[in-house]
Amino acid sequence: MPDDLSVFFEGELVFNGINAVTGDYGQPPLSSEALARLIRGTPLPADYRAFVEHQKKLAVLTDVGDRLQRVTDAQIALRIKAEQIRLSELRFKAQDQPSWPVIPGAGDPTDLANVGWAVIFPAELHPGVSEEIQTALQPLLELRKEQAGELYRLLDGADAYRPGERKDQYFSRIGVGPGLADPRELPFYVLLVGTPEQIPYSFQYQLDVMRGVGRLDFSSDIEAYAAYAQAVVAAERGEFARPRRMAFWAPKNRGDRATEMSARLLVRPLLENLVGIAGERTAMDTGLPDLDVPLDVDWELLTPSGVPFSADLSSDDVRYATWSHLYDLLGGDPDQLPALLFTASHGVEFPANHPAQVEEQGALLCQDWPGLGADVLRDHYFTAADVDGRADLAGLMAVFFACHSAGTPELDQFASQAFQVREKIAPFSFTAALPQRMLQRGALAVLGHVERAWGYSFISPGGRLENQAFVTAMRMLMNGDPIGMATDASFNMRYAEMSSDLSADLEELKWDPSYLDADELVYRWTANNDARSYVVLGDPAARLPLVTPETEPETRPDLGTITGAEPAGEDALDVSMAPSPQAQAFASQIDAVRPPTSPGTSSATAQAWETDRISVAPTEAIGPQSAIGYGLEDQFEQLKTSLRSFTRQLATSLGNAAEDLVTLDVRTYSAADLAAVARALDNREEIQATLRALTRVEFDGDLQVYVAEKENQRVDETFWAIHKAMVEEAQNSRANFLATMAELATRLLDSLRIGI
Amino acid sequence: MPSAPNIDDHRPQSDSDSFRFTFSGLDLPDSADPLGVWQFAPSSTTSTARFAAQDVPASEQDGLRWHIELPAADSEARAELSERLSAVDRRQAQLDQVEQRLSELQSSQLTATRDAKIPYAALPDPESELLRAVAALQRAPTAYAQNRRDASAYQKVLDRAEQLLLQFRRLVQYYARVETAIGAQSVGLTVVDWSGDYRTTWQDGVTASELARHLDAVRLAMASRHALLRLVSVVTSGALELATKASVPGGQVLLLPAVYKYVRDVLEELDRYAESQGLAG
Repeated sequence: MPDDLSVFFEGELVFNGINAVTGDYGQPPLSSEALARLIRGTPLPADYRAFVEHQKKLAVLTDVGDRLQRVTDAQIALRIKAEQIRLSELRFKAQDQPSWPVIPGAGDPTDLANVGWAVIFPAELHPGVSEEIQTALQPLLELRKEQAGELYRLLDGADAYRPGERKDQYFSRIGVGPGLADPRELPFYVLLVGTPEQIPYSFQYQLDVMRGVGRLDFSSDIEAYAAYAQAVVAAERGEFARPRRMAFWAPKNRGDRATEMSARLLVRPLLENLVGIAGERTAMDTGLPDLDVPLDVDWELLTPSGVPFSADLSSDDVRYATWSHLYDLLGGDPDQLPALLFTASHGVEFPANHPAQVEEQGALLCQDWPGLGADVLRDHYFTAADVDGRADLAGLMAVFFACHSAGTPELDQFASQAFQVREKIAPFSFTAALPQRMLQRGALAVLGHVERAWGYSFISPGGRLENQAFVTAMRMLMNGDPIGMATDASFNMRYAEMSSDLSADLEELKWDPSYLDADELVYRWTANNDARSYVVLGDPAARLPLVTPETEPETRPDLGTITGAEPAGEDALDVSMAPSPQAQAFASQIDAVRPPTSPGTSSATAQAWETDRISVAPTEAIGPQSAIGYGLEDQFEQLKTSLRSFTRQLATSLGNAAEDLVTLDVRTYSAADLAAVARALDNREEIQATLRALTRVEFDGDLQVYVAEKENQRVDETFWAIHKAMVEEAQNSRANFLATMAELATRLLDSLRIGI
Repeated sequence: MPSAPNIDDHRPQSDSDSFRFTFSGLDLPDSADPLGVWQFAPSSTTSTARFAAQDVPASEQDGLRWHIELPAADSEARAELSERLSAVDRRQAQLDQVEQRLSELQSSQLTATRDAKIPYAALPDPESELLRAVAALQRAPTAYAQNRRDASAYQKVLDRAEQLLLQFRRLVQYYARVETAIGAQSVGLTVVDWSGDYRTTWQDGVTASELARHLDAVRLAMASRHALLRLVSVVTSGALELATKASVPGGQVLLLPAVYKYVRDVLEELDRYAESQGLAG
């Protein structure tokens, strides 16, 4: 793993999601080993104690008492059965079938006439309310019926989803078989209408494995349903179109590795990839075919700072991931509204039953927050109430990589898996308010996260970037594909594969604890959970209403263009210019100091060297600050600091040496066991040796000489001779050494002086 | 980068079995001695990629260590030591040539020339490669902001520069220790601290010739250290001047690896030339 990435895996792992009450991570940091134990369901007592202590701390803060509850054996058995069914489908999708979960012969899955469209209502909904909602949605239902024809289904009444049903139970009841989606039984695109209490998230996850699923949850706000239906219909009837503009918004909060990771390892590579696919990136010479979904036309890609993506993008742009910038992007400034918005940030979370939880959990934490441990104030995060009341978000789609950004379940899946306890993290399951508000204001769909988002899912322990799901989803959306299809081909496929693999891994680990190391297990588990928990809010068949290249206004700014240096290489060599005097002078000067027939340099080359042409033009200076991005700036700054430190160290040492110059000590010992002396030096132990001679050379040239006498009171002439030679050697060596060091220090100090 | 020629490369295996000139404490690129005199031995303490001031210890146990094993035949040992000391002296002289050649390159204006206009094919290989590296770094900020591949290449430059700087620091900061064994028997051990004080311990009963060979070994080791310091000086000052001339973003520090390689390449060229002329290599 590259060193700059390994820092994310050092020490304890941190997770996305900031508790707005504590200003700290919602999920306390864990070592990869501890998390691996929890994933395997084999926690140590200390793990459980830490978990309980965390709950107590939150309970005190919110005065909600003990929220832990043991799971009964029956509940565990039911969960296992549901898991077995789910896994069989996941394996089927991941391994047994090619790439699409619709039966062969269905045809183009972007065409509703081929794969159908369905809407499922919950049986729990009061019939009168259900009827009102259907009336409000009527324009949308009519449109989908028109598009899907015979493959349109409205599942209500006897076919409505009933409380507590698993997917397989529901399918069995309405006559749908498992496996590949047969649109004749149940269409591919399925819209769930209702709250996650009425149709739980678990059902949505299960259904999503083989279908493109979305959810509309405006509770009993009938007008919101009507507004949404009108917005989708207007978009698909071509009443308006949005310019192909995608904006990114990604804070990096101080002292917070989670947002550092999402900004560096998710947003930046995604931006880069999209620019490259748009054909405006420097050609990559990998020798491998480009298998990414191609973009049909170029897009305008706006960085978090709101400027077109370009080469001089600096990390400072995170400072623009502020509340006010997001406000502008979400309708506060109509000119800034993108067609597609991608954010990566913390979602704020609250202890269960906190008065603000239902309205504000999953709100996006902005750059305005001072950083980890600081109080989270209301104006540090962006929530539903912050969307301008006059905002027109018509045609917008958004992707939120943030905890709880799509919603929150009542019970914590993590605690359930790790400790076999039910932890209530909310009074009830609910949909996040911000996307609901956006859909009311004309947005077509929001792809967000239920529960925690796991930042470690997009970088493997080996340092491999695992962002293909994001890349695929974004490119399909940008090509105008339905969001339900875009997510199925990306996150759902990834979920299928990861989940299938993970279940096998966990089984193997029961027998061979060394089968996977902790880092790899943590990665696979978080990647699996991450992929599962992305859900679409809105109609899964919705697609971006984009201007076509033919209808694009001529004034459309040419954004996303990369400004770079001229292509390098000999192909670009201009040989038509006259030889410069500098070139000729250089040639002769080099000749004077290089071997005349140096192997490796042919005579032809030497000839060309003298006759070739060069022109001299000052290179445009690019400030070091331009070399910022990808997080390399930290390493670069560290390197410069090291050079300065080295130089100062050298200067200081020279200064100290000047003081030491008053004396030069040369000591000669003898020992019975020289190997023991070497070992003692290695171990910094006392040396067993006899001092035979010491010469101290004073600065003024005086010598102090101490020589041991032999038993016969005569000096050992041999030793004395060699000692004298050693003194001479020491004097010469010191003089040479200090001269070289002084020269080196002077040169390095020059570099500091001119600020290199 | 091809390894620089080493005296041991030309020695028949049977001879080299009785001589061993190893040097540990530095991890220079390719684990090759730019002086061509020593075999670099792996050091457990030099692989740290990142460092801070406190990471560079100054203890004897972590210092530079020269270990010389000589045959019992004194005449052979003396000749070998003498030859290697001459090789180090030649390197010092060659470094003068390298520095002069580097200086000429810097004053040629080629370093201020646009990449596309540089007649790479017409330049000697080391100069050509160095200027290509300079050009790559000139456009690095724009290039590496565009795609991961360039960013990855830039990352490698940073890593190499960092590693090289670490080794330079070790060279100037550490204690030096010279150990001599003759006929598999340790005869002398000298520790030289940074201020130049010498502490030598002899094995009881060593002969006069053994004492003399250890003294030769110390001279060779210290001459090598000075030559390496001189090389560091050439590299750092060369990188500084190039950075200034070529307006390389990031300046001197990023050019350290490229200039180090340049110095190595020129030294190798000079060696090959000497060899082709039948001169002592």
